[in-house]
Amino acid sequence: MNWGTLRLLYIHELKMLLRARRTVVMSIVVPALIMPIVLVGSKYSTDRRARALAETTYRYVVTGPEAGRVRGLIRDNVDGTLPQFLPEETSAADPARSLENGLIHFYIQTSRNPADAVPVVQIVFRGDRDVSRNGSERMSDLLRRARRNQADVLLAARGFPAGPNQVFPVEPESIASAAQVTGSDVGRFLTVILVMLMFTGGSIVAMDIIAGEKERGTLETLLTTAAGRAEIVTAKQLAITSVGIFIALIQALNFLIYIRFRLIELPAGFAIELPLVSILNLLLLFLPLAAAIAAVLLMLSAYAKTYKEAQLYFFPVYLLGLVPALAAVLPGIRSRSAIALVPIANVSVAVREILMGRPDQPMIFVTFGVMAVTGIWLMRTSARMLTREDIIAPGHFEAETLLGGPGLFRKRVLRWFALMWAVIFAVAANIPQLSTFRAQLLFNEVVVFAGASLLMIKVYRLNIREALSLRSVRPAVWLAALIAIPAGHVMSFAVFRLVNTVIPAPQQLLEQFSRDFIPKDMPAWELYFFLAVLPAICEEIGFRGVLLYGLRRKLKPVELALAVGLIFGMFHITLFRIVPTAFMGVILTAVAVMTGSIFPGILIHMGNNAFAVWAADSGLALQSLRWSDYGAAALIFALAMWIMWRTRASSSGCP
Amino acid sequence: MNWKDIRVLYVREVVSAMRERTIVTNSILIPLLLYPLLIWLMYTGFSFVSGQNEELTSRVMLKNLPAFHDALRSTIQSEGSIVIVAAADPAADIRTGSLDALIEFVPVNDGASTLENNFRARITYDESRDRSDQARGRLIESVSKYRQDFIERQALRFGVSGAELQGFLLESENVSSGRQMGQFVLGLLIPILLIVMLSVGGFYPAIDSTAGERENSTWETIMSTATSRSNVMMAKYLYVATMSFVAGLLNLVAMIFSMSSLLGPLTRPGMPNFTFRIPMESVPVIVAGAAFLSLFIAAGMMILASFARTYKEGQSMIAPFHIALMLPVLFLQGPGIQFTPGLAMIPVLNVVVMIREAIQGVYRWPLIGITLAVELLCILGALRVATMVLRHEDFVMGTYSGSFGRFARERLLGRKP
Amino acid sequence: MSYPVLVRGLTKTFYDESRGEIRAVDGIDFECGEGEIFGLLGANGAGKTTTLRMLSTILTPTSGSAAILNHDVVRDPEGVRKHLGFYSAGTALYPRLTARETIEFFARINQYPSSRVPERVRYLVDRFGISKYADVRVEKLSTGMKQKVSLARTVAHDPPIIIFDEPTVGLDVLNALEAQQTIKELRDEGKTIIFSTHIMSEAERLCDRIAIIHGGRILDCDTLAGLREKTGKHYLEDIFVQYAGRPAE
Repeated sequence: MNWGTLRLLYIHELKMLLRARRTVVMSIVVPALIMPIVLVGSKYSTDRRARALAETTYRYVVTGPEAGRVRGLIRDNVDGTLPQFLPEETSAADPARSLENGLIHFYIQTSRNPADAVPVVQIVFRGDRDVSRNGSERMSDLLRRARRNQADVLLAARGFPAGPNQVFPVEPESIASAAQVTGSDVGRFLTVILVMLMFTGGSIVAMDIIAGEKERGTLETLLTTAAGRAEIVTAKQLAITSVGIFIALIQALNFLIYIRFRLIELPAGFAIELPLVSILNLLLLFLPLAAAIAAVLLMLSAYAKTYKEAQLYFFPVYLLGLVPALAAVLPGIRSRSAIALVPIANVSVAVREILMGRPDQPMIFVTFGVMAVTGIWLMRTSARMLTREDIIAPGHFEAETLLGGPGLFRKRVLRWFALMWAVIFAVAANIPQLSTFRAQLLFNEVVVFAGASLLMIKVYRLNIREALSLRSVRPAVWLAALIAIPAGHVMSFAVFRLVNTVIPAPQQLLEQFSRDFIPKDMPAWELYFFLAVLPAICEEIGFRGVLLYGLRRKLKPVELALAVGLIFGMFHITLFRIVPTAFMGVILTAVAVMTGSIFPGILIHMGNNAFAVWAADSGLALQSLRWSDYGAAALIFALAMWIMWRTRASSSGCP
Repeated sequence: MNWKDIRVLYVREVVSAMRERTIVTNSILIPLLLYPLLIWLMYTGFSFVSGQNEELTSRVMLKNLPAFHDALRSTIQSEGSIVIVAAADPAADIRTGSLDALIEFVPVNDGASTLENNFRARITYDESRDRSDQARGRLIESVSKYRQDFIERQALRFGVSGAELQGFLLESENVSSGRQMGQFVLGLLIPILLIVMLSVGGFYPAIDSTAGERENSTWETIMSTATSRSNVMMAKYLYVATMSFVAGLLNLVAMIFSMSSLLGPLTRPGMPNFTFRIPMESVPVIVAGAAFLSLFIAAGMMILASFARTYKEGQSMIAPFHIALMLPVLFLQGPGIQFTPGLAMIPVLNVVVMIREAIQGVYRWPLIGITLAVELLCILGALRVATMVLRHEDFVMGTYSGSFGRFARERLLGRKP
Repeated sequence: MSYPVLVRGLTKTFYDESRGEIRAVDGIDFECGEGEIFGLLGANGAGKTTTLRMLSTILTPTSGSAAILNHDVVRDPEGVRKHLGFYSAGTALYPRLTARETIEFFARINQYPSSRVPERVRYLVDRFGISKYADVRVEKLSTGMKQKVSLARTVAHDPPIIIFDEPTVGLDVLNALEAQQTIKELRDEGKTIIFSTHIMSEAERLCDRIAIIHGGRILDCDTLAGLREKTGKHYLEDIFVQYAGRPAE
């Protein structure tokens, strides 16, 4: 790293930015103008709503045997207790219809059950109407208060020695200081806001800083100078980071001004206390966060060929970046958990702990480490992208777009699978006809996996034998596959247990999953067909057939197995199933790659699922196995894999 | 206007848009893939946390519980989520988080009440910890349950029956169906999202068909063909409106679909089961509203974008319009807003409220009529401005450094710099 | 003897998923002497630009070697770039820098001794006659002015070797002539110049030696007189057609 060059480039980048007048205006002046407008507007809007609700006269009807008593209670309690609540009783022959037609806001139905001495007072309202819901809530409050007053009066009249409020009073006393409470509240959202500001602030420079240079042709000029690529990338990264931080600071300053002018009301008891250690800790987390976000933006910019393209990628990446930053919003989450390994999410959680005055120092260092590694990795990727030749020397691309066929298929295969994933995710919940066990499986397996695969084969004119690896294998392979079934199943269960120690699955969810999904009265043959035979054939066609074929030339065998396995796992939607199924997916892909055929995989897949159904049915408890049993299973499994390795097909691409 | 020419030009615009990555991604791929992905991420985060929190019981210590009230212990324990533990130094343990709350009982002998065995319960907890705060809530609930039982039992001795004490049972019933509740929520969200999406959907095509053409130098090619300038612009305008409309509706559908995927499994038994479905009858109103709005948005964007010479200029020209469109919608969209004739006169906002009411199953035809008429007037007005702009041929050349403001100053107001 | 520029077996293949390998440059050899203008003459897509981009280390060669003043393009790319000025239609200028700032920036970034930078900038502003608009932002300059600034920035760090990749593309006659004049003057100052073009007259007028490149290969390399003798044709255009017309084996 040549520091002189780095400094020169950095200053150069900042100078370029400052001279772009429009950019400066759009990024600093416009937000500074818009924020107050939005704040004033939303304040006006909430005030107006509150006023409107307060001024509304709520029309209601009281019916039933206890109507007189309820009227009395309302009359006695309406004044003073709940200011501004204006109820007005009207009459209606059919209250339900009047409510439906909006003639009244709610009605009170009283009834007396002969078996029970206590009458029932029911407030009936429409939850989908703002005024109706609000009025019923107020009426409910009023009646509850009236009831309490009545009980007090009654007890006092009979000589009860204490008012009900004097019985067993509870006094909660928090040992948390006001600053800690404030820190806990502020900490929930601080990181999200910062990530937002960093992303939007940094994007202003980032979009232009490589993509824009590519477009204008100055990148090539820069690459022919004596400055190294590492220096170029670092200077640009620093520029994005500092502009991002600068804009975030300006916005923070704006916030302080808004608070000063009472555009934002601070809650009562708001107190911030930041000792030096906390500030240092926050810096330790926020600096790598800022750098990592800048690196993400830089990578976007390096990946895109034009300014426009860079912008196109920005929005999705921005949204995806915000999701982990929301981690601290989730209740009860601590940095001493698997979350420490998730970039951004770990900062979000650790920051809240610091603000609460309870930093977890070792985890802060872990978080710092994870963020630093992420940032460096992103920067290196960006630097590598600058050497990507199709960016500098275009003209060798898109020929396959014209020709179609397998070449285009390889480019599009991941898009197809992303679409299939979205379809599977969205369909079940939206089309009630498809949410039953049979229909859902038929749809997912036959239509999505098998159907889309065959469609891809047709659209891209693939050779079906090659695309699906329809090849016969030696008898030894079949034997190995048979051995692998139970051993593989036990091993994937072990993986599930391992994962469960890091990411515990909510028991409720697991139970609900098995209870709701599998019908109780299904004949065994049907169960085996739907859970073993059908998925084995259709999913193998999809993943170990078409997907494997599409990715084969791009990746080395090991990467291939990991990639196909992971995608296979992702299709199992629920977090706790992803890792174990991805593990199975890796194995099945490895088998397909080694044998060069789809058939052994189908057998293993089918056997594995059938084994699971059988185990669930016969009450075989895999969780009662000891780790030594899992070890034995692993050995048997390794043996099966070894047999396949020895007899691997020459066309498999394995060394 | 030569509609045959316009058709030819329009088809070309649409075809090339479908081949343009930015546009296809923004209007089709993002809604199809991004929403499910985001919703899935949230769902995954949620299940991660519920897994982490599953054994998150409240660890509570009882101190000096009077023997007379030993039943309180079982009341507390009967709530499965509280575990009673003992600690040597409860305050320190609460501070480190290994204990969630301490409840300390002090006998009350203050003379104000002569109730026997009365006590005061002091709960020590840490408000800044979620878990501790939760423990406090659970304890207060247990004590008040115990108090209720206790008072009822004691009251009997004074001749007050439980029924008398209770007076009446108070219940609330929401007669709206899950579907109606779903419509209520959708009514708040959908119209705003629709406007955002219509605007985003028109954004790129508007720049692409004007500044984009200037950048590719096809602008002069198309302007030098045997059709009139206004035909060209009309075709472009219709194309931008189409893209905005299509993108808006596609986004809407994808969002509703992914929303019910997430919220469906999350609604618990006991909670009203929300169903996120838009009533079929409201579809024509939504579509009409979306169509009028996209025609208006497209007109506004085209006027501004047609001055831009580069993509970036186009962007900074349109962005303020985009923001101006969003602002009133953002802060006038609270649930309390009423669809009045006055409101029906305000462009854009009237469509928001009209669509909201339609989703919630309310159709006030006179107001819908006013709304559509007002939108139509806006569209015609915008087109009138556009023809005025088109008359000036220097606009074709892309002068005024890509700025509508400068054009308005120099040309319309006749002020030379 | 050691040549300032030495190219041996330089090859560049692009890999294309559907069409397989494309050899843009296919094992070329050449060398340039000090103070020589070496011309690469070829049609569009012949491999000229790819070759020059490898020499300037923007692209990495697939195989073969190239060295600039004994700095290898793969092992010591920064050393190469320090001694190299690279000018092409693709190397644009920063629109928001002034002409003077542009020259200064490139002098510094290419590690010209910083104490001498101001003097160098003053010299170049005079030398290229851009003193009138030296403090105007580049975005406001005309094509001809930009081209002068661009030339000045190419030689800002006084490199011994300069590469011109089709320098006159898109220039009018007067500007093109001026560029040619500059190239000649630079040669006379002792610079080694590699120059690529598809304009025959330009090659005829400027180059000391000409390499005819076609389909990624150098078909022949000689002085103009030598080429004339070998082919028996007088005009370079005819000479080129005779070579390029032959199917590449």
